[in-house]
Amino acid sequence: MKYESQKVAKLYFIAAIGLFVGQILFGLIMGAQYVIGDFLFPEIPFNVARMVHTNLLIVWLLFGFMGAAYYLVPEEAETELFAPWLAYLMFWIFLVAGAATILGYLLVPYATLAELTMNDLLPTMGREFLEQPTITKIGIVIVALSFLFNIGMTILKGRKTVVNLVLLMGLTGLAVFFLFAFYNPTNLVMDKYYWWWVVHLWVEGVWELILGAILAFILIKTTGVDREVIEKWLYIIIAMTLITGIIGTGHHYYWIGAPEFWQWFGSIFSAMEPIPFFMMTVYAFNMVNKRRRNHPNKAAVLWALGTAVMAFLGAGVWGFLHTLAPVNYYTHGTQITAAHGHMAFYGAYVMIVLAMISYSMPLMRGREACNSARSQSMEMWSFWLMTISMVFITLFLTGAGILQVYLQRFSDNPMDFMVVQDKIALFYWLREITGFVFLIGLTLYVVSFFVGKNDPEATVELSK
Amino acid sequence: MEAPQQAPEKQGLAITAEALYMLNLLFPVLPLFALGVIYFRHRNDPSLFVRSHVIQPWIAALISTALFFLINLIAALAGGYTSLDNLISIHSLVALEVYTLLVILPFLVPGLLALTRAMSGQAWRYPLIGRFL
Repeated sequence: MKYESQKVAKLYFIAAIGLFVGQILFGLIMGAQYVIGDFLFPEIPFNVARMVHTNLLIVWLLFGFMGAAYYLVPEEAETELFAPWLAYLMFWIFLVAGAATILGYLLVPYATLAELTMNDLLPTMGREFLEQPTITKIGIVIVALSFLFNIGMTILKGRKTVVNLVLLMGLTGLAVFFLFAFYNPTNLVMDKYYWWWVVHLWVEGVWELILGAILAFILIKTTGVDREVIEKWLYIIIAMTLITGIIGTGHHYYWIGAPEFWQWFGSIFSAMEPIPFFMMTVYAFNMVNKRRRNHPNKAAVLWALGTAVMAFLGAGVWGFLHTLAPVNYYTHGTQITAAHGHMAFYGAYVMIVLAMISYSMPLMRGREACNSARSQSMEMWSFWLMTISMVFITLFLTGAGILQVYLQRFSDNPMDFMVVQDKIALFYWLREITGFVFLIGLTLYVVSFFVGKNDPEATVELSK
Repeated sequence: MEAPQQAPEKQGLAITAEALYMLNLLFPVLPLFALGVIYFRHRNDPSLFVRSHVIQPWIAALISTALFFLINLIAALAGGYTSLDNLISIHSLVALEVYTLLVILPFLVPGLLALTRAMSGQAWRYPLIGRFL
């Protein structure tokens, strides 16, 4: 670790991992509720478990992105962080606000939470993924702006690299598009229209810039390939991301009451959205194939390559499966969407945050380059367990989705939603079992931080 | 495994062959012809690097294209493609989904790895069909 202030990231990463564990536990609860309807009812109703599962995902990824930025930016800018104290302060504010919000979801009915937080003054609650009380949303904006100020000032006073600037662009976009969470028109079409400006333009727009920047940083550090080569790839990838991703928003506008031309625009541009992910995979493998040195942190390289492949499969291929308007006419809002969501989030964002943690955590804990061979071995086991189980979760949900589409929307005698849910219960059981395997993988991941602490670092020879 | 200092001979050809293979997955048939021309002209090349990136994509592309036709044939026999107005129907949509899941996915990943190896100037064996090299 070159700069003392990079250590700020450690706190963010610990919080991220803690919340990740929480997210998976609530995922398992919800998975059980799919097949045992009254499981943990009324303590944790399905809608609350779902809200906690998705909100924790967003919050822990934000913690991960912030941690990644606090580690990456000083090193790229070759200077200490502008205000480490501000980063610590914002960490605690964000953590307390996040924890209070989750407790609010769990302890009081949602309508009461809305009343308690005076949602009527500026109503923003009640929309999927943006369920947070308005006061929490204001907190997120304050944290995001302080974070951007800190990162921006650091870049301003130090070296400006492509990686830093792409990351800053992504993070700025993240903050700007979140502001649409405050726009809550009464017209339902308008509401959904701008709601996607937060949700879609985050995950299929600016977050991809963050992903690209973090991946570039890890590849520069672990492969020793010239920065210029990696930066050229990054330019093309982010250009393709924005070209396809922005108008690709149209694939959400097919059936919400938006003009019909979106069926063409959305289909064409979103069909091209796999291209930047495809390029990212080619680029990551190319850089590793052309590496000038074997980095002893094998686990970090594995996570980085895994991100490239899984993001392409989850976001690219599974997105393409149901993005064309004639296909989406049948598949909209079915388990096929859930299959895509799971693999895309895991592949693109979970794995890149874990890659960054894997690369930077040993350095922040005083290692020269990497953890011990034993620790890395366990971490790589966790990689395979989590990744393979996520592939199976996706396949089972896809199977459930295809059957759901047929029984509910296409067969000669279409069945009711709940009747169909019973018919596809086998897939839900299989998904739940695979979910437990994922949890085992995650547990191993956490344990890997405590294994082989006193062993020597893995060497290149050992890691070959 | 260090990357070679100089690009191997016919690296462009190897990259083109792998790219055509992947293109054939998305838009079957036409790229296969171009791939066939490359295969018949270079299949006996003395370089393992060239052969690995010419023979394997050709075999894999033949299999994937055959599966493409098979899936669509089944869709046609099941009542699809009866008229031009019927091109976008549940039969063609299911065929598209099945082709994406069962063909594009398993054939794309090895192609992707092969393409990156070709770009890095390295030979590579596809799973299963690598034995035909």
